[in-house]
Amino acid sequence: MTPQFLFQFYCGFSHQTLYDSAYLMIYNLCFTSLPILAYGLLEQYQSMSTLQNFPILYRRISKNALLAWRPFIGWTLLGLYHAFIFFFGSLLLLGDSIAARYYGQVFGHWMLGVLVSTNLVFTVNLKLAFDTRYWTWMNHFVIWGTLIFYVIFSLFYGGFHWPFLHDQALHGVFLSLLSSLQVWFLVPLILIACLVPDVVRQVLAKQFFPGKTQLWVVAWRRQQRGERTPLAPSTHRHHKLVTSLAGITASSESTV
Amino acid sequence: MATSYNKESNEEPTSKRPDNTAFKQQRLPAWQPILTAGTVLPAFFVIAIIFIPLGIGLLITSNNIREKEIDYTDQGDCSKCANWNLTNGNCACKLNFTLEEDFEGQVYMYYGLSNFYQNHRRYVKSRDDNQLYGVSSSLKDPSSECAPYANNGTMPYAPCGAIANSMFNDTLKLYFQGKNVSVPLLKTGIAWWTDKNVKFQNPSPNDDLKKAFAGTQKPLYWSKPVYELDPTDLTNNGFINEDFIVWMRTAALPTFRKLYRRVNISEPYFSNGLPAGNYVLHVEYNYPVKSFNGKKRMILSTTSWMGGKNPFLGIAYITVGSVCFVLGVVLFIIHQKYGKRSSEFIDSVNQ
Repeated sequence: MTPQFLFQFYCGFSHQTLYDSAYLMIYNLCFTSLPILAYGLLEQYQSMSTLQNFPILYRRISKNALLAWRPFIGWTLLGLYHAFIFFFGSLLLLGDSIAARYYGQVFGHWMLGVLVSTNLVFTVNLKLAFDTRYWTWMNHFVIWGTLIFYVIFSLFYGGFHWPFLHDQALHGVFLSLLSSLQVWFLVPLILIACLVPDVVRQVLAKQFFPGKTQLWVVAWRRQQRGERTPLAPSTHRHHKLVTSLAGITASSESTV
Repeated sequence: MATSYNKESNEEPTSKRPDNTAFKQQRLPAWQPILTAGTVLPAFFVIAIIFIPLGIGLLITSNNIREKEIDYTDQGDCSKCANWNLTNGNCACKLNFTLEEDFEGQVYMYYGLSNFYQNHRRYVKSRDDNQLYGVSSSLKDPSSECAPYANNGTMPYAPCGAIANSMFNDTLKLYFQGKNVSVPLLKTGIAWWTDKNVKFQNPSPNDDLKKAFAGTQKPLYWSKPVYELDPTDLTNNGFINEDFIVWMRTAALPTFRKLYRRVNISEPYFSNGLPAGNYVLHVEYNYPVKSFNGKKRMILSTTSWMGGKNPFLGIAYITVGSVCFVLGVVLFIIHQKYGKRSSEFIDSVNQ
């Protein structure tokens, strides 16, 4: 929705919609519902064997503890960042209505809308793909299937003159986007610009901010091996665990 | 529970245990990728290696495109037309300009408008696509979206709506002083193919447009009816007139340009594009923009394989490539320094 809001600054605040109404409706129905449904059903953050060996991990999610403000605000800010990149990326590509193709024709208003929504659908689905850690055939099917469905839907919707619609605004729009090389260059660029922060965050989090889950698992394993560590602690003793683990790591390295 | 027991039949109590299928027991075969520095680092460097040269190439291509913009709202000779009251007749003006370099290849001529909100909601709605598709019932009875430009009380407008009504009607011509010849311009091939061949159709009969449009009248601000937009070329007359089609594709921003003409490179002197030299722009100034503080300009531009002159894509690619490179280096340093200590943590996920 943020791109819609940003567009108002450019259309005289006249509530002109960036996306065609069909796209708006189908967005929530089809383009984003199935992948997240599959994620919710099938995602396994920790494998079953880990959970069976360390049942204490279930305490982490008691009382909805993981639905905290900090991650929520973090995700919202990330979403805003994405929206700004889609919108301004597409807008700057348009420029002063610079020619879109070798033959000199320029983009129009609906082309901007479809470009922004294409970036949106692809980024959202690929972000979910990066966050999924347990890829069953269903995950593959819904994520890649949604992307393919989006392309087919756009081609279909904009490819024919639908007699029952009195407004053929999107006729030929997706095809003309596809025929413009600039668009083919822009979409991967925006995808990567949006997903890079997310990937970096995931990698750095594993290196520097291992979650409590990982700390407990490591502590348990060390206990099994007979090293002297405290048992997997309750939330109050998280700090102590980190410092003691750091100390143990240093000492184990020095003994090796 | 005993309460659900059917005492008469002596069966076992119905079990609530889910079936032992792979799906319901969450035992589906799965691929479990792990996103670590080791897998991500090469990807970042590969992205940087691809993006930076690509960005440089795009930037160079864009910089090689030649572009010249002439604002003719009220410059020089055209200032007399800026305040002209059009009921007094037409106004024509001339502006001199110089091309410092040769414009090689196919040269395109655009007209540009500023502060013209073609993306305003009421404006964008004000059209009847069925009428423009040639449906005769819509021709005589345009949709209510076109109001107040649907009819004048008695006869319907063809084409109806505010978009059609405000069509750009200046005439721009170029004159090359170096050879004392006017630059030959083509008025076809400027609209999107799908628009010209599918979305816009003339009502039947196609060969006698005056008869096809009988019973309608020209829009309020037009000086001639739609079947006289190009009487010399039947494939460019009526609704399928390319200037009209180009105008009807509403622009996304209040400052925009639209393709107006193409230089005819099959003519002598201009087979290589526009040579450098002095030119004169002849304007038939019909389109009033002063009332909304708008500006008009004429733009000459060449194109490349990627379109018009827009350094954004090149710069964006170079930026993203550099950022990926820097991130890759930073992650590499982190990986080297702290990699071994935290491998235990990484392995604890998805064991």
